[in-house]
Amino acid sequence: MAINVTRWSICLLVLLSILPSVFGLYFYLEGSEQKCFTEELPKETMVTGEYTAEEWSEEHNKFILNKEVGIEVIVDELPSGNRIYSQKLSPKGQFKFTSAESGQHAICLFTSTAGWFSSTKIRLNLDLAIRDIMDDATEASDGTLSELAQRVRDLNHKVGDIRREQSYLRDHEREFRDKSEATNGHTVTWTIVQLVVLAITCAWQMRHLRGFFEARKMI
Amino acid sequence: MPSPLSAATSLALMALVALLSVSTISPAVVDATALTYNVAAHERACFYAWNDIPKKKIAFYFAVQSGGSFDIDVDVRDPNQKQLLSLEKERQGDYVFTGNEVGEYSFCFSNDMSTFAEKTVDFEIAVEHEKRAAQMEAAEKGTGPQAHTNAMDESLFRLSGELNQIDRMQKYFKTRENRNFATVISTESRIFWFSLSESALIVVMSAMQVFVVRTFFSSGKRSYV
Repeated sequence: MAINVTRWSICLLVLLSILPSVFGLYFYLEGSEQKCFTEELPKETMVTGEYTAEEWSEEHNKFILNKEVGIEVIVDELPSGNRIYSQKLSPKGQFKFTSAESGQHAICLFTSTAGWFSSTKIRLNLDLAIRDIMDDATEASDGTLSELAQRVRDLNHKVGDIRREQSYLRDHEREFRDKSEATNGHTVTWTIVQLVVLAITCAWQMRHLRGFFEARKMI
Repeated sequence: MPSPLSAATSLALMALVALLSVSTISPAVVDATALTYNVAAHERACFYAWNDIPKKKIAFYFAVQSGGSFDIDVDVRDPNQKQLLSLEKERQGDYVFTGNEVGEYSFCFSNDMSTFAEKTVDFEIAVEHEKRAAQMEAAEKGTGPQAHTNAMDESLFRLSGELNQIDRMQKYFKTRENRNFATVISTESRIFWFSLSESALIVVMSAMQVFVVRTFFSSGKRSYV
């Protein structure tokens, strides 16, 4: 596709002017659209989410941080549908919640200020961490040592994540094994039921036909 | 100009993603975010990552955890809308791109193939932070015995790589296990329904047999015997 050089440079300029304030994963929300993410959480685990919401402003022709915009965060426990967290928050910040039960949770984000017919476009940067980030609050960013300490801390968190995942897998596998064995048991049960049905039908058939032929005096 | 794309789909190539860390808020050497999203039937969900410096590595991992036949369509585009990766009905994938362009890279999941099945997709997008590595190098030269910090640096880097490997392997097992679980549930339901329909069939067949035999003998004509 052949594109004009001048058009390209304009595009580049526009692109550079809409640099997101936080790097990381982001997505767009149109109007009151809701985006939900599911997480498998163990019991009583704290989850911290950092987000930045920027609104598209026609006059500046880029995404800007608008203090009026509100982001609502809702966390539901999936099997039961209990709402364990529901908050209206400012466009840039953090939210924390603790899971009560272990299981699937749905974390939903949407703009609370947009009405049904609103056409605001919101760019939402999101980062979820399944641990308490209060430990990171004491960050000192001077010198090599603290950088190494930072890396060690990150490694610690990673190990924590792996351990958590492992215990989830262990529980899930136990469920799987129970289900497997139950299914195995059911194979036998249903086969026996089938045999019983077959035997009864057979007996009924014989009896009926014998009665029929005896009535006809053929036996 | 085509951007070099190195695909790492098999288990053996998982080692390529040694720089990934699972959802850390403070960036070490990478900015990674891992999320799980439910893609509804006929939905197209897109997620974006920003690349500010050319030639940064962008790592993309996804795995379908549940739903239908555990596959989904994937479409990755660079800031110029050029397709970097286009997959149909893929179960899981682990790719590393070199972000040659500055701008917004889009990663889209499309569930057009399902009429009503919704797919749960686990995905992780990470943008490598080369700046950080350079920073650390500069800081090290000024303070402390360089040999010691270098050795520590080296071993921390290796540790990080090994932990990432473990994490990848775990994710692989988790995906497979979800699939196994779904298979067992399906087996259970199949056994139940097939047994029930077989029993019903037996009853119906024997009734039909009796009826047919009766009609043979009850048309009145002894001559049939």
